[in-house]
Amino acid sequence: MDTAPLGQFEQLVLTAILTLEENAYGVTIHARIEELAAPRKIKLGAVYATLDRLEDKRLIASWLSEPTKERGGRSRRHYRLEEDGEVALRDSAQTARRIYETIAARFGGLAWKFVPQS
Amino acid sequence: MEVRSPELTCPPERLEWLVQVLIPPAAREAVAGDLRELYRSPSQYIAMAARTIPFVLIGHIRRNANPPVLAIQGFFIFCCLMATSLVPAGPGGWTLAVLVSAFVLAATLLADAYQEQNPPSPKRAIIETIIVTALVVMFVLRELFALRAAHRLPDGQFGLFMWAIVPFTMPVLSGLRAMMVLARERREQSLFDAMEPCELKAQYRRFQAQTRLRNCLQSLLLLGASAGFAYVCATHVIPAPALAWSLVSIYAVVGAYLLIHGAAVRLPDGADFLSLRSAFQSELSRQHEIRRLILWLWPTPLLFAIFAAVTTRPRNDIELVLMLYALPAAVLLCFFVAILNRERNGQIQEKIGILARMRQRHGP
Repeated sequence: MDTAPLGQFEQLVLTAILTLEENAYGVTIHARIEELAAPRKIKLGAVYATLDRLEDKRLIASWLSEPTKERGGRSRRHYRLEEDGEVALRDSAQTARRIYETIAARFGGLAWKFVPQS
Repeated sequence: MEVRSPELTCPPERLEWLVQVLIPPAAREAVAGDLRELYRSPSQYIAMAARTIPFVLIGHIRRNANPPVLAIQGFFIFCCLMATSLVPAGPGGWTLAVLVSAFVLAATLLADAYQEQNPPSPKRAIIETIIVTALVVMFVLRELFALRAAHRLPDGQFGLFMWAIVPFTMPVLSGLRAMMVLARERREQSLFDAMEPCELKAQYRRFQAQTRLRNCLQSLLLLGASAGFAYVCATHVIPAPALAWSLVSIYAVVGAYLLIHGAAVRLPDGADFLSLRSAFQSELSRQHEIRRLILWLWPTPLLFAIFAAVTTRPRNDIELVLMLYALPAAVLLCFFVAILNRERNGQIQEKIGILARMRQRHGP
């Protein structure tokens, strides 16, 4: 499928869903993204908006779980990567690797360290 | 292990109710549940809800927004305003009409985002019809009084409206609305709480065949209407020809789009139950948006005619009265288009909800 390239936040959301497997829903996805994007603080609302957008692009699928008592009898909306989502994430990862290698070569080796310019 | 008391683990009832009301219904269950899981204290809960709900709301507005439908709705509101004495003549009137139309459209988008996920109850549906009809009747009466005060109302028009039109409008429209509700109640649900993948595939294929047939018919009708309008535009002198030709093009473009891209997409080969369910949901939603646009396209020529009459023709008394009747007719027609779409939207959201909760049943 020919999809538009993913934005950085979309990559983070897809990566979180990929790593959380069966346990990917709003709260856990948000927590995983905060880990991945640290020290950046991520708004929960931004995660929902991106999940909706990715679902519209058919990169992820969602379903409602059984209602649970700790959520006041409400269901969780779980997410899973679709085949197109996996392809899009792989493409993004390859691009990110090329960028990383290019920058690393420019700064002399893969162990380069960012030094802010005065 | 530390056990937190219920007061610490769940938000106060009223606060939770308020937050829940502010979340759009389509996301209410998942978002309210997530916020409850993250609850630490009332102030933290309020802060988190305040940071989250606007994003959820904007996301739902974006999802529900159908730009061509919005354009037609905006045009309709603009025409209604321009055709009445509510807006003064001249450039100031145009600006006011555009501003009011934009405001009403924004309110419509907000109302759409907060629309319940099932069709309205029969009682609510009938009450809405009565309110809209009463507003239209009051509006026409107001305009008739204004014309009579200006001595521009031909003889007998007031009586005709009061005794021949008013007594029939409300019962007829309420009856039509009740018929829609009855038709909804009679419809059988084809999706169940648990289904086998092959059953779901069969349902999708049935849906695909239905949409293919309906879209082909709609496409032929639209292309036929486009050809008909083009013939009239080419052979007759019509007011606002640019508008008329743009209508011809819109019908032709939508008809062609339906022929080329209207069909429901093929299910991915080897897709599992989850992917099937997800593809079905997306396609239900897409087909509903297409139908929504087409339903709005049909009354558009009437709107163009009103707009052309308002902006290009000299207003004599007979034309004024004709427009006075055409305008409420257009309002009621658009109201019916809106409720048809709403009924349909409720059914689609119900189906999407069933699909979201559906469990996979394994064959015997």
